[in-house]
Formats: sequence, structure tokens, C-alpha cells
Amino acid sequence: MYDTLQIIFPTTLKIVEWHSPSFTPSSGAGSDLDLPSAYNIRSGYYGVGGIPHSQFNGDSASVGGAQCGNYDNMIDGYHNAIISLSSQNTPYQLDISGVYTSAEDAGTATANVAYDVTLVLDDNMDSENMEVDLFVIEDKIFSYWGACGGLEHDANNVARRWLTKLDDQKLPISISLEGESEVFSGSFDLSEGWIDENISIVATVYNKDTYSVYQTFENSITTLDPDPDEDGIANINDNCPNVYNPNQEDADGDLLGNACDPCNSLVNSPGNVNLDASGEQFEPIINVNDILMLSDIVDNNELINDCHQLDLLADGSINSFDLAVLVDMVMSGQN
Amino acid sequence: MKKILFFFVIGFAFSQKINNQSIENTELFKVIETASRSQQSVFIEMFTGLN
Repeated sequence: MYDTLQIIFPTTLKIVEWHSPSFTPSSGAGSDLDLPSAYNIRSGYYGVGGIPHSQFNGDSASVGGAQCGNYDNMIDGYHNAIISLSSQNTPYQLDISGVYTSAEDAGTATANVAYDVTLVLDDNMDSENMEVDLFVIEDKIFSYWGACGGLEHDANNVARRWLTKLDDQKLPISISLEGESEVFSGSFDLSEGWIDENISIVATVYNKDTYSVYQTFENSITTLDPDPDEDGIANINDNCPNVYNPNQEDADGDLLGNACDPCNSLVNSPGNVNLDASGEQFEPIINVNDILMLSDIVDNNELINDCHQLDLLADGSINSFDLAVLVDMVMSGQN
Repeated sequence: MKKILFFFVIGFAFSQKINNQSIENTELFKVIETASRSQQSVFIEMFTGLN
């Protein structure tokens, strides 16, 4: 059924299936290659009892299937559920880039994948309890269902490895402001038993307390691009991994390029409420527009951007007295 | 004294203007916030047993 649904939703739907070890020979007890322990941990997240059990975005579940893969009567229900879930908005954007080296090219017995998972926020979002999860899956694993009259049916998107299974592999998210980005990098080897062309990396953004999933992305390992924004700087070294910035300008030296820095400290000077600036040296512009904006912030008692330096009196609060100071700054030409 | 009076006049003048602009900005921020967020992909995790 899921192979049919993935044809219908080629970019929206991402699937990880936990199957019998016969599909995924496990090794390294306790490691991220240990399938049985990974299955036990993840099924424990959702209280899996009856099977097959399908968990949607870590939140809702569907239990039960159909004998010998006769899922036709179930597809409409799943189709509608996917439509509904995909219409939700999320502040997270994910991308997976990197370098794949075949065993032949490497001259070794194993292929290697070096990956960079780039996370970008397009809105402010509290990062408490938020993490990135990573899986390696293999599609189109041949299987023979003897109990179903010798049915031959590929197993799809089988989990081969849980890259963030162990405590020291966890990837907590540290960004929380609109425009900020964060890159998570790593690598793994592939033994001869894997078919490289059918291997993908799946990344999710999830809450480690509720297991709710906020965004998902998948990329085949053989089509990884080391420089998706095509600025000549590989993601691992790029100070704006998702924005074209070949010169890598970083005026405030915070390792976040000017092209994507929501808190450029040269612009974020006291009183520059709307963070506008002029010239290549980012000379902040403080004028009546800042007065209007600060007045609105004081009225609504909320900050729009955590980068603001609005406590002009440095007394621990932002109120009409700071507004008075800003008016005085503008009237006296002190910028 | 003149400076203080000037400041209060400026303050009242701008506060009148800001009340109307505040309402417009609130609606604009809602539209922008909704438009700027990414569409979510759907993640399905399926468990079929280990045997």
C-alpha cells in the first residue's frame, strides 16, 4: 500500500518501516545497527501493541492491515489522512547534502556516505526539547510471501540503521530565531550486502518528550549534493548553507554569514528597532520609523525579534521610558 | 520645560497614529507568519513485528 501512496505523494510522504531481521541483518549489539533494540525503543515511544502499526507524524496511529497485502480498501483513508497532515505549516526547513563514495571509487570493501543535514527556521520557534532524528533506509528489498501463495512483493523503506539511536548520537536543536540555520554532519559506511542505489537518509525534526514530528526530509545517498546553494562553498564550510553567498561575508564575525544572519550585531545597535541599515558597513539607521515600531512593541508588550536592543535605560524592562530615550536620540541626531 | 512639553506633544501625536497602524500591522503579521512557514511533509513510521 505504501508503495502506491508514495507514487501519489512522491515529495510529501516519507516512510520508515521496521521489519523482520531477515530483511535487515543486525550487528553490533547495542550500536545503531542493532535492529531489535531500535525496534523495541521506537515501538515503546508509541505503545505499539497490535501490528501492523502505522504512526503518523509521531502523533496519531492506525493499527491493522490486510491479509497478503490486499490493502486496496484502506488506501482512500490513508490518502485523506496524508492530505490533511500535509496541509499543516511548520517553521522548519530541512535539506540533506553530502558526498557519496562508492566502494569501487574508494578502493575499499565498503562505500562511504558523508552527510550534512541543514535545518533552517523561517519563523521563530522555541527549541526546547527539539531534536533531529536520522535514519538510513533501503527500498525495494525482495521478499517472498510463501503463506500467500508465493506472492513476490518488495519490502519498502526498510530501516537499516538509526544514526541517532545512542545518547551520544543525539542531535539537539539550538536555533530559535527566524532565518537561523544549523548543520548536523556525520558519516557512515555501507557493507557489500546493501544496494547503494536503493539507500536513502531520512531526517526528521521531532520533540523528544512528545515524539511529535514537525518536519521530514529524505535524500538518496547516490544523489547527494555537497553544495546545494551552488555558491562554491561546501555546506560543511558554508556560513549560510542554504543561501547563495560565495564571498562568505560575515561583518560581525559570529560565523553566520551576512546573507542569512538575523542578528547582525552591527545592525542590531541600541535603538535600531526595525534593524535597517545602509552601506556595506551596515550603518544602522535610527529614525522616526524606529519610534513608531518601539511604541507598537511597548503597547503590545512583546518583542518581535530577540535580537533587539530596546532596553535603552538598561533597567531590565522595556516601556515608555525607553521610548522617551529613543525620541530624544532621534530628535538630537544621536544615532 | 519646553523640551518636556514638546516630548508629550510628540508622544500623543504618534500614539494616535500608532493605534490605527497597530491594527493594520497585526493583520499583516498574521498573513506573513502564515505565508512564511514551510509546508510539512508527512512522516509515517510502520511497525510490522520482528518475526
